[in-house]
Order: sequence, then structure tokens, then C-alpha cells
Amino acid sequence: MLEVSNLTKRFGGVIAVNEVSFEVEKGEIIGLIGPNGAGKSTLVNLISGFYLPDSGKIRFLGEDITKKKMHERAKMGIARTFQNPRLISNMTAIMNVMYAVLGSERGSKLSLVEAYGEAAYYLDIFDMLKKRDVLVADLPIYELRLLELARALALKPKILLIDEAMAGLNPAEAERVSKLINRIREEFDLTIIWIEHVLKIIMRSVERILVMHYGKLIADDTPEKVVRMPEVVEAYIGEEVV
Amino acid sequence: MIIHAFGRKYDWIIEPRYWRNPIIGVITLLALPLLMYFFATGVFGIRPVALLSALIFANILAMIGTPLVLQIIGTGRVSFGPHFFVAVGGYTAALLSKNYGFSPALTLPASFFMGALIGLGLSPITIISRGIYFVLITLLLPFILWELTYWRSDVFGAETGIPGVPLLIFTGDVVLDIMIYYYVSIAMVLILLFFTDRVMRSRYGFMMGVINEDEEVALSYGIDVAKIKVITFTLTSGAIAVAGWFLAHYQGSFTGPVWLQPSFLILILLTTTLGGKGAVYGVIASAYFIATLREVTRTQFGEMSVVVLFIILLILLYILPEGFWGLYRKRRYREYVPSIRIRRA
Amino acid sequence: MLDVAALIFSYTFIFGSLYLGIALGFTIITGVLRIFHLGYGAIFLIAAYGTWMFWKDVGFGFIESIVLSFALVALFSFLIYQVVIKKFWEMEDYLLAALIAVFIIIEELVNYAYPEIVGVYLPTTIIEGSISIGPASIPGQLAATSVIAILMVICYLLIFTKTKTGLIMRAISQDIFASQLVGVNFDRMFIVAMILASLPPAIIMLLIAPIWALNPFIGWPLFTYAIVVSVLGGLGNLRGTIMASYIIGFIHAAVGFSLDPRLMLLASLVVVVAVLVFRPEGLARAETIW
Repeated sequence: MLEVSNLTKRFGGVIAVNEVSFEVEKGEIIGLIGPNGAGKSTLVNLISGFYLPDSGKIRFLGEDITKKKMHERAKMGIARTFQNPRLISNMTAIMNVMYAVLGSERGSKLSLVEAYGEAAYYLDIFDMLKKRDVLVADLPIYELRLLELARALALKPKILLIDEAMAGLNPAEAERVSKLINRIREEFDLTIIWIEHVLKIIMRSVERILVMHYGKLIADDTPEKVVRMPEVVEAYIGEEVV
Repeated sequence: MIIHAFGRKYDWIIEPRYWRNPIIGVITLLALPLLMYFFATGVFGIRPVALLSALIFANILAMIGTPLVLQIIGTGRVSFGPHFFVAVGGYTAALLSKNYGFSPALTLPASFFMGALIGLGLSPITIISRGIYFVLITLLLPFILWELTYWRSDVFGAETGIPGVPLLIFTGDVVLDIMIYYYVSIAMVLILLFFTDRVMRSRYGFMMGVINEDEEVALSYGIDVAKIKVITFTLTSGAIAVAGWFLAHYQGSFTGPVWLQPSFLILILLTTTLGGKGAVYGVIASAYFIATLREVTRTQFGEMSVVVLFIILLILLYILPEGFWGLYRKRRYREYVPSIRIRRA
Repeated sequence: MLDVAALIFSYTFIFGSLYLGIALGFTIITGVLRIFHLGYGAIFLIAAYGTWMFWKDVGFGFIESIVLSFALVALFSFLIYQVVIKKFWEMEDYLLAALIAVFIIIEELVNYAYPEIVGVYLPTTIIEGSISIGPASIPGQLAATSVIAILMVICYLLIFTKTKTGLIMRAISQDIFASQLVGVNFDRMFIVAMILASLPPAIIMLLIAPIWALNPFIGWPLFTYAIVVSVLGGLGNLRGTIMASYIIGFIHAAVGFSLDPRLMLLASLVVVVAVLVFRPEGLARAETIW
């Protein structure tokens, strides 16, 4: 479904993403880990289209999307969440999901009233329906993370890029979010790339792990194998590894 | 009520319970000229005809201010050159009708089209240029037109302008003329207001709200930011040019330099700012306020009138940061308004 | 042919230096305070008409009047900062509108007190008559103004590079938050910058007063030159302003002497707008004032 080949992105003298290549099949759920500054978010930004690469290609559903604009990729079915929740604070929860509904390829034909109905459905999956008229500025971090996921889902994506869904959550909340992610993956037949720091949780959910370090992809294998690789352990020296 | 158009569904929520205030507003505006004549001696010593002229000027300010507010919201940029488009419309109407005999009915679409065309040509700057650079470029545009009118004064007439433009209405009775001009201008304002209201309440208004707070989010969720900015800028520029059309056919002449001055710019800007940031309806209130104030200071203060006028307006900026709409709403108006930032913060 | 070339060459220098002097203050304000001072044009009016007022109406001597008008200009800049800029610091569109309003108020006040009929004239001529540079003949006063403008710029560059105050201002210009962290009292620095920035336009105004017909409405055209040059050079950057002044000077001289004098400003405006569209940061594309 998604093929990334030799993707490179520089910022001034820093190589944030260095000749990264990997493939993602439909239905897979893949973890993307690495120390801070390894280039994970940059990679997601490249796939979503916020940055254009200096070299390399991205293919999605057989099409070369390397030069496509962000909103075109969104309509094709690439959705993402943000590391720090980026929602429109002046709008209510349901409004934030509504514009995602209207932004999707099929949803753009709906009327506002119909979009409202669909948005309500997505909110309900995350049990946020009762908070639908609350201003985003007034929501706590846990609900913001749920809202980000609801919004991403409303785009009716084929692939979902999750950029750290756990930061700022306590263990119980993190557990719930993890379960929800697994549930929506099954229900909506999603392919997921999940960046995360809390390794313990995603180790159980994902089938495959990509490890990045200083912009390079240093591992691409099952969780059990990756955890034992010396390069990976070295990259994480000083940090807890499962 | 759902309208099917262009393969999409547009809904129009008809809720009569929200109609009370707008209806009161519209009736007041329509009845104003008639009310004028009950005060035979005029208000503050201003005769009804002069007051009506002032109100027509108010409508002109509102004709410019309303599309301008929509432009600010839709492009996320504040233009400091709306008077440029007014002059474009005015010159188009004046030149076409005087040199080629076009009737006012024909020059209207011509002015709109000219404004929209130039707006379209300039629209890339809404995408490329950050807030402050957009301000600068739009600030410089009127200068360019000004210089052009002096350079080719054979065509544009420099400071004497283009006389002899056919009038929109001429019944021979001054009072009746002014009344009709008032009603024509108020009709134009109401149409613009209605249209702007519909846009703001539609999916486009919704998308504009997202764009204004976070463009990256808008793009990530399928909103074609560039297209919305370009369309907004193009159409609103055309609408602003129509105000120029009205000016030309109302005064029977068009003198660009009069309208390309910073003092006119500031009146337009204050109409939108004092109306309340991002508030479309506040524009009418502040337009009427400013126009009336201008007339009052003119009759009371004579030569010092401009000074007094601007001092009062400046003071208002201080005490009414929420604008007139803020008074009406009585709380901090949360809306989708952009701001200009020179600093990197 | 050669005399046209000589004229263009010399007037590039003359115009360039003149515009540089006019724009210097504006660039400093934009560079350090990072606001677009749309009321800058008032400084020219206050300098010229202030001198006239002190000299003719109050009765001071000519030199004393000049000094007093400088004080008035400094006071004006200080008040603008305290009353207008600080109030609307966060709301930049209000700030810009308020600054234009202030300018219009000053302009109308001057027009009310000293309309064009009064025939205000300031005898500040330093060099009488004309100077010849090759086949070109230049009014002596203009040449003197250009030289003084350049001297001013050198002075200010020295201030910015050699003094502690200048260094602080450059730091503020680059990163106001970091400067705050280091303990810079930027309120005081802004006042210093505002006052420093108001001196060059006042000086230039007094120098060109005898050759440039004084009327209450020259504020805005002079301000236009300041904007055009600053914007082309890159907002708030002195290197860029210097470059841009001479580029605009060249455009004006070339267009004025070889095509049509009435096209001068139009040509430079078109060039600037075009540059801004493709290179919005201006020519110098720098982050700080120097």
C-alpha cells in the first residue's frame, strides 16, 4: 500500500531523514520508534506531505505521491494525528470532527447537517458524544487525544499515521487508548504506522517495528527480534527497553 | 431546506426565531429617510439632504467593509489596499461609460469583472506572502494606481478625474434623487450582507475558520487552502470594485486621487475594526457611526473637522477594542480572525 | 549621451543617499521594535513645521528653533511609543490603523495651522548654487544632503557595532525572547531606538527644506520612499536598506533622465512589488537589523 524509497530530507546542515526505505502492506500495524530527534516526526511529515523530500520517492496505492499536495494526500486516504494535539480551539469537539468529515473524498458531498450526523457517529466510537458541544480549549489531554483519533477516522483514511498518542496520559488512559486503536484498526480495516515512546504498550499491539536513529532506518523486523538487535539497544542506552 | 448544486448538498437552516433582530435592523434602515423628514430642521443642525448624503456615504463604507471582512476571514490576511479596488471599479465605470457609452447597468458587471480580474492576478500573494508582507504589498498598490493616473493623465485625468459620467438616477428633484440613491445603496449593502452571512454559515465559512486558526491542520484534513484563498480574494475584490462603480455613477464623475488617499483607507479600516474583529454585522453599525460623525464634525468644526474626527475615532479604538459588535454580544467575541505578525513569535 | 550617463551616475548617488537618510529611521524602528511605523511620516512634518513655529511664532532664534524642534520630534516618538505602540502591541492591525490615524491628525493639524499659502521656508542651505560633476550639474544643497546622509549612516552603523546599546538593540532585533531571558530592559531600549530613529528623518527634512517645496502634505510621499526602500531591502535590515536605497536611486535616475520623470516612482513601485512577490523577505533576507 505504501512504499517509501530512499527518502531524504535536510534542514540546513542537519539530515533529518537519511535514505529511508520501507514498505507497508495493507492491514499491517507498524510501530516506529527511535530516540528523540531520530527523525520519526519528520518522516511522518514527509508522508503526509507537510514537507517535500530532497530526494527519494513515496508511492501510495500504486501512485507516485512524492509531489502531491497535502490536501490531495488527505483526500487519497492518508490521515495523521499530531504529537501535540492540534485541534481548532475556538471550535467545539464535534465541529473539529465535522471538517474532517467534509474533507474526505466521499464526505465532501455531504451537507452540513449530514456531516454533523457522521461526526456524531465518530465521536460516539470514542465515547465522546456527550462532550460534543464542549469547546476544545476546555477539554483535558486525554479527551484531546481521543478527539484527534476521532477526527483522523472521520477522514475515512486507508492509512493512519499516529504521532505519539500516549504522551501526557496516565497508564490507565494509555491502556484505553491502545485498546481503542486496536479496535478501530479491526473495525475500519486500517493500516497503521504508530510512532511511540512508550515501548511497552506498542510492543504488544504491533506486528512489525521500524527503528530510526539519526535519520537512518536501523531496523525493520518483528518486535522480538528488534529488541535484541545490538544497534537498537545501543541507540537506546540509558533508556528503558521493555 | 437542502439545495442540491454542483454535486453537493447545501443546507439552508431556516429558523424564524433568529430573524427578529435582523428584521428590526432592516426595517430601521429602510425607514430612515422617511424619519429624516419628520425632523424638518435636521439633527444637530444638519439638514435632511446633507444627512442623507452622509448616510449614503455610510452605505458606501459598508459596501466596502462587508466584502473586506469576508476577505480577511477567507484569506487570513488583512489588506491595506481596499481603496485600490474601489478606484479600479470607479475608473472602469467612468471610462467605459464616458468613452464608450456603456450604460450604468453594463458598467456594473464590468467593474466587478475588472476588480475580480485584478484580484485574481494578485491572489497568489495571499498564499506566498506572510501577514506583514501582504500588508505592505497591498499598501503600495494604491500608490501605483495614483502614479499611473498622473502619468497618463490624458486618460485618467489626474486630480481632476473623469467628469461627465452618466448618473444612475436623475429625476430632476434633488430630494427624490437622494432618497432613491439611498435606497439603491442600502439595497446593495443588504444584498452583500445576506450573501456574506450565507457564506460564513456554509461549509466555506467553516473551512475558513479552520484555515485561520491552523493552516496545516486544514491541509491535513483535505481543505484546499490555496483554492479558498484565491476564490475569496478574487470575488471580494470584485465586490469592493462595485463600490467604486456606485461612486462614479452617484457623483457623476470619478477622481481617483480623492479615493486613493490614506484618509479614505483609514476610514475603511476603522469601519471594519470598530465593527468588531471578524464581525460582519458590526460593519454596518460602525459605517453609519463613522459617516454620521464625519458629517457632524464637518458642520460643527469646519476646518478642524478632520482632526476632531480622527481624534475621536482614535479614542474609540482605545475604549472599544471589541468594536460595536462586542457591545452587542456583550462578551469576548470568539471568532476565526487572523492577525498580522511581523515578529517571529 | 555621455551627459545623460553622467547625470544618471551622479543622481544614483544623490537619490540613493537621500532615500537612505529618509529610510534609516524607519528601518531601525522596524528592525528593533518589529513594528511597521505607519506614523513615521509625521516626523518630517514636525521637524519642519516645528522649527518654523518656534522661529516665527514663538520668536526663538533659528538655531534654537531647530534644536527645539528636534526635542519635539523626540518627544513625539516617545509619546507614540508609550501611548500607542504599547497599547496595541498585541493587536497589530489596530496598531497600524492607530498609527495612520495619528499621522493624519498631525498632517491636518499642520495644514490647519500653516496651510500652503503661508509659504513656509527654512533657510538651511549649506551650499549655494550648483556643483558640476563632469557634464552633470547638481544643486549644491542636494550634494551636501547626500554627504550628510552617508555620514549619519556611518555614525549609526558605528553605534550598532561598537556600542553596548547598539549591541543590545541588535540582540533584541534578532530574538526578543532570548534577549528578555538575558535580562534586557527592552522597554527602555525601545524608547532609545524610537528616539534614535527619529533623528535622521528630522535632519534630512531640514536639509532638503529649501529645495523641496514645503507643504503640509509632503509627509506621506516622503514616507513612501521610506517604505519602498525598507521593504525592498528586507524589513528592518540596515544592509538591505543601504542596498535598496541605491537600487531605487538608480531606477529613479535612469527612468527619470532617460524616459519620463513622471514614471520614476511608478517604475520603482512596480519593481518593488514584483520583488516582494517572489522574494517576500526582501533583498537582504536577514533576520536582524545588521
